[in-house]
Amino acid sequence: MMDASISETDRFLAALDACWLAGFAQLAPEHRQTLAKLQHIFEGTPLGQPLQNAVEQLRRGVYQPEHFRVLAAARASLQGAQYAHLRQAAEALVKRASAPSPTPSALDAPTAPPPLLNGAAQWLADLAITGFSRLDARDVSAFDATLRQMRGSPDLLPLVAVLAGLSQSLIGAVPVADPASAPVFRWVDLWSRALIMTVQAPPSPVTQPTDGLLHLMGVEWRSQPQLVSAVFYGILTEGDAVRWVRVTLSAHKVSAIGGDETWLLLPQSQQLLQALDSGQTFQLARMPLTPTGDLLWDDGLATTGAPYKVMDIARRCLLPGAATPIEVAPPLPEYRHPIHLAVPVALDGYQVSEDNTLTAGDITLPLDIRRIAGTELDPQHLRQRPHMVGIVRYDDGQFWLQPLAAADKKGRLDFIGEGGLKLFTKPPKNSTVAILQERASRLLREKK
Amino acid sequence: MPSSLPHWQPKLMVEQRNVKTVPFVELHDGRVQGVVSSGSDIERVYVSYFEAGTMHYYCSTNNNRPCGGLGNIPCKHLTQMLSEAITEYGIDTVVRFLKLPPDEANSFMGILKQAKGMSKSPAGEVFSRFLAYLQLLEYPTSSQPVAEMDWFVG
Repeated sequence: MMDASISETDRFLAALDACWLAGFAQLAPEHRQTLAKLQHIFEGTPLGQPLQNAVEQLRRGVYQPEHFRVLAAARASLQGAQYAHLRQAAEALVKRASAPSPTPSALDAPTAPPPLLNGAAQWLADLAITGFSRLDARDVSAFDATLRQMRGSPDLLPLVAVLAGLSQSLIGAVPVADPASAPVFRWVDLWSRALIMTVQAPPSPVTQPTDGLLHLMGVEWRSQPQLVSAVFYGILTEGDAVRWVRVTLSAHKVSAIGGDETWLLLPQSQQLLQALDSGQTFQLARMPLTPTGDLLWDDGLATTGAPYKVMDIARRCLLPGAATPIEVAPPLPEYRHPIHLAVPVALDGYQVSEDNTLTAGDITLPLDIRRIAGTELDPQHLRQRPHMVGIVRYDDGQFWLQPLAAADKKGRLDFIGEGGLKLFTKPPKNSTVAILQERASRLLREKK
Repeated sequence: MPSSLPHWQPKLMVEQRNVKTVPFVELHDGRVQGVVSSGSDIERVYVSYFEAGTMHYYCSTNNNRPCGGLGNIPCKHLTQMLSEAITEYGIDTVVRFLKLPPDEANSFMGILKQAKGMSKSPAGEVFSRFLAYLQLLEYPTSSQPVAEMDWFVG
């Protein structure tokens, strides 16, 4: 089912990432051999010449961010090839015809990056020169001031997410006591994405207004100590087109805020959680939609409409082999990375085993408990719910199932965020969020 | 096979932080440090820290006036700050960060017993980190896609 080249690439990347663990100033002969192999893979491709030059310069000790960026691009393009295979395999798994890949968006000639981006690129280069296994806390926190400044620019949020996440993960791990158990692959993933993103200021998203009808299908929660993001997934119908779409809401946060209270940082989510809970559609009026299926949510452009049953719509469009074709837009070329693989599916009458593996007919997938343990969709709840909407994901050499919502026989829905909705409906007297926000507004205004 | 996601561990913070008393606590630059509200004056805060390795401690107002409660043992602000650090980061992380012997310092009291006299250092840096921390809550929310958050599940 899964192409053998996937695991071969995974193994090669793991070997390649040893360079970042050791540090480019201290490469051993086996690291140089892996870099030579990387060059060999790209021979005769557009990356061939730049890669040869970059490896040569790094060998001579010329540690410029642009040389590291070529390595990042090579690594990302191997993962892009993995993404293409994985997407086909995941679509075959849920018995859906593969969507044709769109032609890559023409990249504008890079404009000079703002100084903040250069600062980030330099920090990333410094991490690679030193090597993750030799970093201390000061190497990591050297970037704190720049990162704080970047948080002030809303356009840089995606880059801030990667940099803050990498910094947070490193600060909790350095000095690295046991390099063998360090999450090096994850670190180099984040390092590569960040370095590629520092090449130029982010382009503004291309959008088209949509007047479709939105049926929300479920929620995904993503978080860092200082940033949270909720993704609402839904099915958008407009004329004959049936599209799988996303609404993303994000907020900066502080580490003292946790649990359901975190939802209070995303006031716009209340309307969406409410609609999902009560099964109400949204009629959109010129809501901006990107070609990747992202709605740029503006609550002024949505009114609640007719009621619907989540599982009825989900089963019609998302059951394996469903008759209604649904368009699941592929990501932009620069986002073709296995971490972004997300193939929606509805499942019925499944079994969930003791080791949290779900079986529905001829589909067997492990539940990704990292995403659901302790939430409204904990496996022990799922065992009592015969209907589910979820996403097929890939990590660690295999496909996983991420549940987004589940329903019992009567259609009562469970989804992540129910706890948050309760707090919106009945706000606690003294929430951590309210106390700190009040403190912030008093102290920071006072200063000005 | 290599994984892009973090090692899974059960979530911390089952207990809610008392941010009214201790709005800010962090493990930073070799110190467990934080800001503690004054019990009597809403305008006043105390800046407290324990230093990793030496277990020296100090507490002063944000204007660098030493805390009146300081002495041979840590003051009330220091104990409140330590207790909230344990709630937020977990006792194991705090003990490891302070470089304490895990078998002796395995509880709140166990850590406090390791405290070894004062060291004086200005409160300004911690206080400005506190303001930067609060600043995070002042930024507007966003509705643009952030695919990068796919790396930060749960």
